[in-house]
Amino acid sequence: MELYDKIVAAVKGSTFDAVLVTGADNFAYMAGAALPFLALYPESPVAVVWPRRGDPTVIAPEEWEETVVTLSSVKKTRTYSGGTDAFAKAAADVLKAKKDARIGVDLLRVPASTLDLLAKQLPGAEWASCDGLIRELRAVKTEEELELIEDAAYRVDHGIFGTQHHVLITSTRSEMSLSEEMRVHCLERGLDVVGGHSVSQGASGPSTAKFWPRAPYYGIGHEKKLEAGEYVRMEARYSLDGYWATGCRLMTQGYPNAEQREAYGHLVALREAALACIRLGAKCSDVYEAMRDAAKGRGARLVEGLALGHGIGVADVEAPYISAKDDTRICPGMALVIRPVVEGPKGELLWSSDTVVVDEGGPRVVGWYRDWRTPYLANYTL
Amino acid sequence: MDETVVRRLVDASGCSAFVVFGADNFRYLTGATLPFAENYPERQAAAIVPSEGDTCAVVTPADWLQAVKDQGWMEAAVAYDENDGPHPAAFVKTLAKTLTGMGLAKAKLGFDETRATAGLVEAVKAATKAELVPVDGVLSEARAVKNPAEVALIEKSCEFADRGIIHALNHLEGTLWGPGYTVPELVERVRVHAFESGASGVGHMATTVGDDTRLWYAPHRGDVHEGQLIRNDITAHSMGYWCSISRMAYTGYAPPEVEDAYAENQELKLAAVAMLKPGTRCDKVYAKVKSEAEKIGARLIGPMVGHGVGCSHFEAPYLVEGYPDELKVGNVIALGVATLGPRREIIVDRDVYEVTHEGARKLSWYRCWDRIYEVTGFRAVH
Repeated sequence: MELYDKIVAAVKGSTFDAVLVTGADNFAYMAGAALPFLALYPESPVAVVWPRRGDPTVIAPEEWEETVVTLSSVKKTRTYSGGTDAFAKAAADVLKAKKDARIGVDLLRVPASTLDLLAKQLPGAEWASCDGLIRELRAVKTEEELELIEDAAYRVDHGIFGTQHHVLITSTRSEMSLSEEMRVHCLERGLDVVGGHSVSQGASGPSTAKFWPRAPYYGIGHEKKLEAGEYVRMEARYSLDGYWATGCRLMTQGYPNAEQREAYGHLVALREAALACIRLGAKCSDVYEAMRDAAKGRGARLVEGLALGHGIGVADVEAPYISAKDDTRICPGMALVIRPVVEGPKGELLWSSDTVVVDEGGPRVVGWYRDWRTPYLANYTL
Repeated sequence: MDETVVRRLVDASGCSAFVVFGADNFRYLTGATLPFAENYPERQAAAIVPSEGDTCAVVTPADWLQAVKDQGWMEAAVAYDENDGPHPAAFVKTLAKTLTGMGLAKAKLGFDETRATAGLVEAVKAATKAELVPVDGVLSEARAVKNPAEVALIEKSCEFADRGIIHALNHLEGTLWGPGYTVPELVERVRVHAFESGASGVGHMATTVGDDTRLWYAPHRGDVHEGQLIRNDITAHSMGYWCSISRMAYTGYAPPEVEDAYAENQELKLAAVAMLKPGTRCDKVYAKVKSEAEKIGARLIGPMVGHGVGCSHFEAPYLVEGYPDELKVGNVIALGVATLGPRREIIVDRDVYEVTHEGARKLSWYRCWDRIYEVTGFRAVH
């Protein structure tokens, strides 16, 4: 089923007379418009109003109208001029035929002040959360979405791998140039390097002890040079026509020592544990527990406080989450990123992200350009 | 931001503490830029600043905490566990506990309701007995007037962004006759040169070429050829303080109609710049530009000619129709008049100015852009 038709059916089958979404990610999903800057302009809100019957409407600032119409699959627009007050009036105008309606709104995206303004404009309407509906819709992808996600995952993996090919221990480079090379390699593979958070980040040796070395220079990299014997963590997150891939691969500068091999072995085992548990009907929290058990069994030092994976789609991190309290049932059409983080022998934070697509037969790891059951080994010479 | 000033603001608003959720307000109160927080709506951070007492606190996801500390945050820092519940329950649980520990669980708390989602506010209300009072106006007013250190950071960000653009254009020289640059490659040059010059991050990046200059953003596709108009829009930051810059270029010698359109645009911009003085009403700046545009027959786009920059790249004050606030010393304005070119291209030359007692002081001085940049050189490299 096409995405548009899927949304039509979902709204029609819901308890809402109309659905209004305001989050940049939800907008991208419902409007089919990859506009990477929307999240950065909270004072210029956009929305999609999707009625139970009739055509959806996009609400956008006047000056963005042509851009939004050109890039969106929703062609009906209502523009406004001014700030959030004007936005609320425009939204109310679109919804005016539904004064006493039950309107689903993404409460986990809409600012509290904006919801107040909307409620004042349409005092008779009932505003209820549609977060669950949108979450469910987004979590299960169409075939077309899955193809894009798989393609993007492959290109990111290839981009990272292509960069690794250039690394020589005796003729090394800085973390900054490593980050840039990843970006260029991903660009050369046709990925969209759009959005400020569309970054790559190389970290080596002591820098890998942090998730974000050199804050706030996120995704830029240190001038530190890669050294022999180090673990190198290489991350990249890019998109393809609005669908994201987030990859991370590990490289050792020369043959890994026993401790480095053991740490990598933990990651492989955790991936295997996840894949063994990702079965139709299983809960995401079951997958989490299986991975925790595997870590415990191996004595791996799993970094606490984080989910061990997440969904991917129009956002690079989205529901469902491989976490202790997410009881979402695994079903065909899901695209997940398995991302446990373990501590390495020198306090390195190590992860190797894998994108997994779930179909009727179970999970399928996608995007591997090479077999990642071992880390990439940088050579001394060509 | 000076902590004493913040505490005075909290005190003046009659609150026991400010609890802010927006990434921009977080930066303002803590001095720490979060890693792309706007793009991760299901991950949350908060900064808590009481009116009195020794301790402030931040609550963030586990992988952001180190980044906050590395930016000089010396006070309490608490990570929440993503496995404690779905968003926003896990975050709110830790926030509530932290507030209780600070003696604020039943206090009057000022919060940013234009940033906190309705769902988050609902959850905080359910988990605490705190009285939540919106203080967006107080924060916005305080943020709008910059101190010299803030101005200096914005000035640096302007230099980095302008360097990014001009160096990318320099690289474009001499490439138009062969298989030259692709649009994605050109955009990447802007980004990498901004980074190499010292920018600590970029936000919105849109380089539109040829017919795409009719839009504010278009996916970066295709090649750069001779005889095309180019618009480079970039927002970048220096340690969390943002600029917003737009520059126009033409591949080859710009035809008279393009030169004329650009000159018209400059004329309108200068009319606006002349009004950037303390005491000028923001809407009057727009009105002046509008009337001047009518006089010379220029086609103005959109209802806004400028806005503040600071902890975000788009903030108060707004030079927009219907915004009556007066400009103050210390305001920093990104000013760019958007007009239509001969083929309906959007022409903008956006600079950043500090409002001083003497009038506007240009912060984006790295290069003079009073004439459109013509890509007519012969060097392929530099």
